[in-house]
Amino acid sequence: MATGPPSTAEKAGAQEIATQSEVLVWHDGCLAGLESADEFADASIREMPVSADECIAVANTAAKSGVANQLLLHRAGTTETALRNAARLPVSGAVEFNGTADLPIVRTALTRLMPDSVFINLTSGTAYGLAVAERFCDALRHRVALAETKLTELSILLHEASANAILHGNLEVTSSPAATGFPGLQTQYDAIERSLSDDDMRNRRIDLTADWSDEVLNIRITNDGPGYTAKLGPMLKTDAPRRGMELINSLADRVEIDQGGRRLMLSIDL
Amino acid sequence: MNGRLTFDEHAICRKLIGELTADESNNKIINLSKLEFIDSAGLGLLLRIQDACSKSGQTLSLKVPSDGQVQKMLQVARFDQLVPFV
Repeated sequence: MATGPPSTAEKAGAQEIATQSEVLVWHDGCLAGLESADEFADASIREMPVSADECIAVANTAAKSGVANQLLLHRAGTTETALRNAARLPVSGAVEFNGTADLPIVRTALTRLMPDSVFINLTSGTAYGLAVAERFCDALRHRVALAETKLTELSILLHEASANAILHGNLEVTSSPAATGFPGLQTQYDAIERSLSDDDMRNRRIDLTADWSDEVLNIRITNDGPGYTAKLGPMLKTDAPRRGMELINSLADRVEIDQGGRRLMLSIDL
Repeated sequence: MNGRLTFDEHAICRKLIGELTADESNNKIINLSKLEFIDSAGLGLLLRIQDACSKSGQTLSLKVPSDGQVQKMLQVARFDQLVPFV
């Protein structure tokens, strides 16, 4: 098992390697439809290891120090197991890839690979029902020195932020004060199902990106929706989005929302 | 209850509602000690259940775990002030 974050000496020593290495692109079995992998011309392509042990072995043989030259491509509908295993891989980013239409997203992802940083970028359809925030916390656990209680708080924080981004941002599901009781809940579930069956909404992306130093962890959660802002005013007992924002505000040290509600930026002091 | 009581786990939420609706006791207890994860939607569901209970003259309380994400969530949300713990 990769034994935690690299030391400063290890980082300094391998910084040169990072700038000269070619990019390694792992994929989660999602290149099958492509005619050729030429679009990734400067990269080495490898299929993601299947088991946790294999991923750990890869992590242990990788240079443990600021080498930010690995990207992972996930297939649509990737599994919980694949995400768990991927958390151990020494990649600086992971992005869902569904074919040539997603090449611009991959090209952008390749420019975003940085030391002391990790991101995941999935469609809402794939993210829905996967514990993406918790798996992202797994990835952070392998990279940043964080106490267990801090990781638990982080999983709550990231889950609430991701839920808002997917539900209210990408899927445009709003919670109506009139939707009380169990019928109200059913109404919300129906609205979610409708949005998930809409191709455009289902393909809207959610992106979680973290970067860190010894003092602070910064996380940005972005969605592709039309913009969403948490409601003001007295909070109803069953108003989950407001409770979610309250939790986010109480668990993060700094919170900022911009891009019309499409981006939430959190900062946690370490 | 096992699994995750979250915004995207509709089946588990529906199952919980079904079980409680079928339970005829006046003092209902939901056991959260084996639940893996709960979010604000899960908390909202528990409050909806509490509302339904009080409309029928019933009470709701929660059996809670001593540690883990669920314990932390209930603590941060000060949920014991909304639904009693046993």
